[in-house]
Amino acid sequence: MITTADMEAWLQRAADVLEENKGYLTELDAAIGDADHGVNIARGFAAVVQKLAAQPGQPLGPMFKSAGMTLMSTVGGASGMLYGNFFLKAANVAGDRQALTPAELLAVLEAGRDGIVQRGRAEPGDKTMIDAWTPAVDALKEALAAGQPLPAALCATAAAAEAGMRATIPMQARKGRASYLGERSIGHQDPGATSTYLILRALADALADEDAKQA
Amino acid sequence: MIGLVIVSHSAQLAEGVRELVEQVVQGGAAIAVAGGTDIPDAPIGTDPAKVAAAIESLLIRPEVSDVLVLMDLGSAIMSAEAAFDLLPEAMRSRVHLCEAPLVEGALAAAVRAKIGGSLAEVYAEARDALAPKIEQLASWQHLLPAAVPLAEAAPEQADRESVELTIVVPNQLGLHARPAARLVTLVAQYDARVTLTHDGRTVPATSLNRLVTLGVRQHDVLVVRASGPDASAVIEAIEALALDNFGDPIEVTEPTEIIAAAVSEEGDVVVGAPASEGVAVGPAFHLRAPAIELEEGVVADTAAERQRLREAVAAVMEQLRTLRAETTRRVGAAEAGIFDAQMLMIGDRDLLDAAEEAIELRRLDAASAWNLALRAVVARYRALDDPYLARRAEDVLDAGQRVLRHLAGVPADALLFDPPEPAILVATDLRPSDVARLPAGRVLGIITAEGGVTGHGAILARSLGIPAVTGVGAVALTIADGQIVGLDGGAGHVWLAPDAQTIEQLRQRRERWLTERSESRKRAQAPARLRSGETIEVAANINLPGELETALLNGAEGVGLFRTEFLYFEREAPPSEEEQLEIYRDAARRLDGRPLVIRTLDVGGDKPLPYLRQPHEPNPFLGQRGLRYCLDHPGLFRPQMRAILRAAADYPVRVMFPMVSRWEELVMVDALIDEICAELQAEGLPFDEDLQRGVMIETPSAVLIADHLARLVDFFSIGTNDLAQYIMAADRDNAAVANLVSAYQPAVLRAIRETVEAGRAAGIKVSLCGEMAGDPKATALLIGLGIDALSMSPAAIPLVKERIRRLDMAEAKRIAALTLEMSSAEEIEAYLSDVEQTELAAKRMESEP
Ligand SMILES: Nc1ncnc2c1ncn2[C@@H]1O[C@H](COP(=O)(O)OP(=O)(O)O)[C@@H](O)[C@H]1O
Ligand SMILES: [Mg+2]
Repeated sequence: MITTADMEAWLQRAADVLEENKGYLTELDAAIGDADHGVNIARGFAAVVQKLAAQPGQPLGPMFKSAGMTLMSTVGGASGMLYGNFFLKAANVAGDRQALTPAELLAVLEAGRDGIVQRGRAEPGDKTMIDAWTPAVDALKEALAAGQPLPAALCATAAAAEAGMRATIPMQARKGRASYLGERSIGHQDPGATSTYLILRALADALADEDAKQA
Repeated sequence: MIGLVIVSHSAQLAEGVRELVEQVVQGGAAIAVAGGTDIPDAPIGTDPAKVAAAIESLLIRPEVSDVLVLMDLGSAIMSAEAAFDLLPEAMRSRVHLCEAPLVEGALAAAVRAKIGGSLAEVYAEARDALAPKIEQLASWQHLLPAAVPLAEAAPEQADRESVELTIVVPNQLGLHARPAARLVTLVAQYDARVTLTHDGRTVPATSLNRLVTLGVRQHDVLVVRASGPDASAVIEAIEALALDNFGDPIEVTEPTEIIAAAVSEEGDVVVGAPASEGVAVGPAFHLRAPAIELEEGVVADTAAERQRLREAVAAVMEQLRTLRAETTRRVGAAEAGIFDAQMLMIGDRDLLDAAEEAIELRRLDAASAWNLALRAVVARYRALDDPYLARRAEDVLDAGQRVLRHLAGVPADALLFDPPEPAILVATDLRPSDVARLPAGRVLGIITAEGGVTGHGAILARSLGIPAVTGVGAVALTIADGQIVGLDGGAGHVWLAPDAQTIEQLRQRRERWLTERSESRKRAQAPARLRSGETIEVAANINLPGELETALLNGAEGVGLFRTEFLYFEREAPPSEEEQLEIYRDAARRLDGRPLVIRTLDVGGDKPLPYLRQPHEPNPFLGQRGLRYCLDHPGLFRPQMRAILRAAADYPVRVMFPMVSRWEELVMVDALIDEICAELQAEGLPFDEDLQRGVMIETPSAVLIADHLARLVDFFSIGTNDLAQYIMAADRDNAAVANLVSAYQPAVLRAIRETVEAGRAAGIKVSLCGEMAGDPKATALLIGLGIDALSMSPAAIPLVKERIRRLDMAEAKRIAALTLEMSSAEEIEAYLSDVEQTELAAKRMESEP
């Protein structure tokens, strides 16, 4: 079972990783956007962690909801609205659960991904974070269906996100600020897809750690 | 007034737009801004919470009806959408995101909003705000690279081949739903692309919703453009239709809604039809289709979801088609027209396209997508200036919600009245089935938008003793749930927003009414004996078993007319023998030894049953009705007769046959009953072999051969409603002659006299069960004519009993004799009113010695 502590660990780790990679993400955004993605997202996740520390012991639904609302009001850019809706939709699925089965975790991530689509209306190939989310969720589904244990399945998830992130390089942006650049957006990696990869990597690491602890 | 919210990444830009706007409208705008973020090191950005707060700050202002949200770009759009999700459900329908350019749009919208523009106008103004700029800068276009204007060239070329027609709309009420529907239907028959342009807005002529929401009024100019193979032909056809006043009569009487809206409104009192006496005050609560909880879901298989939606729309189209057919048969083609319009409204490609787009693009589930598209259309209708057209919003909504219900698997005609506390029921109109399901104890009073004093709603309210005002018009539908309202069903008054003092007065009046009623009910328990000693039996007419209780409370000595149609209507198959037996037994049990006269099924072409294939009759009132129909359909009739015979084994149950005009019909019934008795005997089921039978005297023929009929039955029951109609050869549903249909016509009174004499001669009881029986003005006359028993609406019983007790037989005979001398219904009614007034005055004198 994946517990609230696991999810808190995930968000904590995501905040750390995004803080570490803040410069890198901002650099990516400088190429095809407005050079704020790293700063935005690191600030947002830091705020999320702070908020969580103030309200310990919540069930998963309220916890995700608070994360979503916080991201929406502290990130400032498009990604705040998108990751914000990710967590709001995830919260609907999680409800008042205190723990998730791997299948429920998949459902949570899938609902979150759909939330991003609902808000941003991007399709795969538009050079956005969706290009990382979609293959990642698919990979998790496949791995679980194949009976893989959760840590391995989440590794596959992160790997798929990474591949999706790399695949954005040759794409031409059709959504978001980068789309204003038209053809000139080709040849650059999408910052949002990159942060998505980092967040999913953090998930795999957080749960691998937990697993190690239990073992 | 329409409020504006400005959303921008930059707080300064948002403030700047506000500054510009306020300078132009000088404080005449409701405007709020949501610019930038509250994040110190990243002030440029947008915050949905801020946007939501700005929207709410306007919506709570009483003068703001709707809010238009304008935004800059990118994540500002997402923020606005996210803000929409954050708003309370109830507010959302008043919030509209607008794609207009921020600065130009805000200025144009604010100017329009300041002069009281409707939502549609403000919205259109904002969207078109770039037009003046484009025009002014057109001269600079030659400096642009050629590629840009080329994109525009294609449609222009198509336009060159198009045919154009300019119409000055002749219709008195403008291009409202009916003429617009005719136009849409016409255009659909041609292979052509047709658009209509009105006041700068162009819409496809295939969309009824778009067409009606153009808000075209009489004398407005409409430009029709057609292209494609049939372009000329369709233009010709449209021209012909326009010359024909779009199929409307030249002089139209205003649609009922407008009449209703014009009823005198004195302060907050609205006047409707006084449908059922009594005073009520309390929270209002609407009778409504069960609300559909929409759970916004994201779907994976959008194609399947679109299919699901299409199937639901198709199913609802079918429902509407059936409703139209039924209404045409029962009421008339004009009343059924609404369903035609509703079919066009929800069958509108435009609406379906918008919903399917929401499924495709936003991956919404069918119901949420449909709801979204529907709300947008409804908002467009609501925003129209013309109150008649704006009312059409309810029609779209009503039809559209059928789709939602279908998607949710809720039965098409389920209606619910489920207030948290006893409440005043508000409805458009009441159907018998609605009333049958009402929790009577929770209904303090009834207010309906439509219907008169003779509608189902009114009749049933009276029989249940619930105060009711009907036909108050569209205002009824604007009453909010929980709002305290008052009504006086005797006067037809409704207080929409009574102040504390009025509420208190109404409470006191209600108390008084209830006390008086319970006193008169108490008195009504005693038999109705004339001063001279004779007793008149007073019984109740019952439409639905639910009325039995009121009938007994009011002093009914039995049921003189138990209508059985309720058993057969609004269902898929006829009721079984067992089901009927149960209901008859139950009614008889509740009557506790008092007689129950069951009338066999009285249907015909005017009251068709869905599961019977009844041929269309050009003149249903003169067609196969009542007993005629039953004798011809033993499959339907036998179970009912068997159930009645069996119920009569244990209880004082009698049977009565409607619409008899020949002696042979009763002979045939007798034979059938004999047959059934033999059957029941063989089956070993108990039954009453001496079942008392009666015949309704309601055709002139029955009156004239009453002596023959009397030999075959145990009693007569005169049905004055139909009798008057047939004697006067006038249809009571035809407004032009309805006034002829009065039981006070000398011919009808003579028919009653003849019937009584025939009954007397044969030694059988003669009762009367038409509306006349419940009219205290007729009591003396009827008793003077020799009627033995009266059966009436339960509500009328106490008064009629009191009237009887004050009568003397000799006096009644004198009144009857005098009445029969008179040559017109007018004279008769005037005389009887006089008699009643004198009577009342005498009674008052007595009680105030
Ligand atoms: N419509 C969209 N759908 C999905 N992702 C989007 C969309 N618009 C932008 N993004 C993602 O957001 C990232 C940019 O985030 P950020 O820099 O925070 O926002 P902004 O563009 O407002 O500055 C992009 O790299 C892209 O992955
Ligand atoms: Mg950016």
